[in-house]
Amino acid sequence: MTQTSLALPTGRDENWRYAALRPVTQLNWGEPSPEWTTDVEAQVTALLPPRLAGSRRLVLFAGRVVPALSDGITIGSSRGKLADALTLECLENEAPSGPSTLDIDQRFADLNRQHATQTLRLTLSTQGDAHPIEIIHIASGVSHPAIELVLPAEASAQIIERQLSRGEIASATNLRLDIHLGSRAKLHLARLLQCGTQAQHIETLNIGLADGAELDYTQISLSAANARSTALIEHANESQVNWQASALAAGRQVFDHYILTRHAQRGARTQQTFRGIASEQSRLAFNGHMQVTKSGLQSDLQQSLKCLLDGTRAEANVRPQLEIYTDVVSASHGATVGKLDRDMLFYLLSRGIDPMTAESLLKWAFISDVLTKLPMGLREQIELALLDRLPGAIASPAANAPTHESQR
Amino acid sequence: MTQNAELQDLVGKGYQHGFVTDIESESLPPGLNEDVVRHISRIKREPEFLTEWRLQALRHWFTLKEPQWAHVKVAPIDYQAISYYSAPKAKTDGPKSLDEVDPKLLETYEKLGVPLHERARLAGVAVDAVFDSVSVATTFKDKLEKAGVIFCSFSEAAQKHPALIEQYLGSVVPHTDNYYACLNSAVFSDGSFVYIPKGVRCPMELSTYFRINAANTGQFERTLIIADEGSHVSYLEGCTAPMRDENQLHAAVVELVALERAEIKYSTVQNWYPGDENGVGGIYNFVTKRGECRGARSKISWTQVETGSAITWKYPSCVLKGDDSIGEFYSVALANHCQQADTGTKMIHIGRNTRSTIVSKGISAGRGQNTYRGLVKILAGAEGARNFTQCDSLLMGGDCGAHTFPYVEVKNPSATIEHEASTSRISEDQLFYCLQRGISEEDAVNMIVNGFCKTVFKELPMEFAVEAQNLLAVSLEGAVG
Repeated sequence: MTQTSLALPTGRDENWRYAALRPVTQLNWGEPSPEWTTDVEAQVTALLPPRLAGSRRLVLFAGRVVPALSDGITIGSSRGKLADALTLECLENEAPSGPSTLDIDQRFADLNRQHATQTLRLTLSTQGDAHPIEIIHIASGVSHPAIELVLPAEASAQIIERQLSRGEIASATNLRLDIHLGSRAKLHLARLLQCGTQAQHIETLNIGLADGAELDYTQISLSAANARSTALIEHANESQVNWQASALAAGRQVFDHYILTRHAQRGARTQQTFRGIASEQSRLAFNGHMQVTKSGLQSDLQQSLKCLLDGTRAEANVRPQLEIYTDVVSASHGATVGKLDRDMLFYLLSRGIDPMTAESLLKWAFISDVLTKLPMGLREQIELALLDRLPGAIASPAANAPTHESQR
Repeated sequence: MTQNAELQDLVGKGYQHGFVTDIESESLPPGLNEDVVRHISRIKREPEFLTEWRLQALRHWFTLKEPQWAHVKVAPIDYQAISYYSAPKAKTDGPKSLDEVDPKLLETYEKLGVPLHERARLAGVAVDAVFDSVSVATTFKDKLEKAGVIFCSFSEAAQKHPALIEQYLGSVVPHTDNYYACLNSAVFSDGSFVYIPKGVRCPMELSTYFRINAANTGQFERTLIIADEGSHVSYLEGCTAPMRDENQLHAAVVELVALERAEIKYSTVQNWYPGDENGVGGIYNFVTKRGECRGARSKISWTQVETGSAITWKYPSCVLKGDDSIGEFYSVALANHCQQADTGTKMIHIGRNTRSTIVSKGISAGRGQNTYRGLVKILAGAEGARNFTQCDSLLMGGDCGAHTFPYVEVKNPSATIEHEASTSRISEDQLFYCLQRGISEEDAVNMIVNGFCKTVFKELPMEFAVEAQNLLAVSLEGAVG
């Protein structure tokens, strides 16, 4: 039973109809998070991916910052600096923070406010910082990570956020990520979901952009038992959002996305791209809802949602929605669901490429619209992670390594 | 400024069919209960099974709540304040031929552009005219009977062909389907019934003209079309209502059944009274239309032009059960002044190699709100299913709204689904091009809007295509955004 006073969404709620809700609504979200011990530290250290060149790193275990594995914060301190331009604060939440909303789509964010024990606040100064910031979440037990990211006017930052979990131990994460971009601030945010097969992952993103701000967002969902991503984006004058997401679901995984983008001021632009591959008995859903109010003149919206089905019982649900209340607007969307193109496959096979590699190559090409938006260091790491899923699509590092003969 | 003035002038042209016919009619007092349903059934001399079916629907309806999910704002409806039966007072049991029909009624249809006599002789289209709750005249019956085609009012069919009614009524839209279909199942008063026997190509187009006349009534007609194996029929539907300050409810149900290799083409030009420019009055058009392609290689095609009614809530759908069956939906929906339209389609692919096409064109002007809501669902067994959807919206003015809510649900990996949509206003370049060639602004906008709707209009039978173009012209000439 869910130990919470909040009524959680059900399949009858329009924006939750494709999510796998049973496993998350039956959880005890009030359960205390596991403790940080030396055994855990050894396990987590082994899990951490290679550091990206020049990056500053923050590691969170079960929703709390681990100073021992994080840069810029000393043990026993709640404040620190990742770099000269970047301050961070770990705010201890003694009581539920913020009021509960009536919006059912914000219900998990409300739940997070009730149970999160710490909020990580990152504030970048106007001068900016060229170094990428890595935020690594290690899921364990039930946790409610809460992050607030503030970029003042003219600031720019590159953030890479990863969701990992401690082996195949069951976990449930309810993440809240609030982003405030000041006027003309620029944020490149790359997010990777790579949890264990027993991990339940729910996240709610609230993103506010000031005039002229730009958000370049890329999300890759590779593994978790079930994942649901809810995002609310509020545009301002001339602000811009490029939203790319890709999900590769297999087994019985369910990856569900709901993105509500509001254009209430002049000249805002949104480009949304989704590329999903559902294999075996998995289910993918992407619900991209774009609103333009009467004052959202000269808004420009483009949506391209594509799904590939690769399993006899795989399922894809896409909803490209436009809700427009003014005529000075340009909006278009396209959505497709289908299988691998037989002609393309035949072309590759006729050139002597084996069927498995040919399929992998085509799938790779299918998601490349999103993959190519990733920063280089991260892209290489993700390509490595995809080797198991798309064998033969790219040369493995071993294959790239020079042989003794070539060295001679 | 000139554009706005012209727009106001043209919009002010108003509704052309808003007159009231002063004709004696029999109506039931307002209110809905089992006695009312029994009374309707008794007037219609229906068989026992039908009365029971109606009562079952009514009992279920009392347990339901009005749906709230549509993107429309509906003022509360007092269902107990509506009269559920109104009919022109008959001198005898019913007209045996057009000569026995009240001349005032025939005059009404002449005014509406549905001259029953002339159409019968010249156009070669068989017409069933439904006035308030009852069918008043059906033309060309003899010729159709020779071909084995049954085309009559629903009441007549219930008396003469009860076996067909019992077999097919509610088999596509059961009374449990939704709130308004359930209400219709309980109180439907008349409508059209069509049966095309095996292998028969209906020798002419069939047409029904619906007219609401009396005040404080709702219209609840029910249409059932059965196309037996290898048959073909094209059916046209038109509708109008007087201008009144109160909202009137129209909750119809249309069921189509296409058996193996059968083809049904269903075209609608909906021109119910839309209310005035301030949103006062107008018809609430809450309609359930669904066709089932039961047999292999069958085809159902819906074409609709929605220009009227204050609120439209309508999703003509195809359930593609038979292998290789085809569903089509072509729609132009216009929302002007304070009109609200939430319309679209559902294509449910069940059989193998089923195909569907959806082309929807929405036009919003004034303070109109136009929503396309469409579901394409491919079930696990629908091997090789294909769908193509195109829904475009045209906005004219800064106070209107155009919304697109598609649902694509695919459970078979061999399916191919494509959906594309765009929202824009009339291109200033196109308008300028026309104007600098000496075409007036009104004509230019008319041309551009007609071009926008061309893919749908070409699916309409010729005379309906002309009517549809004229309707759009009346409402929208000069409406430059």
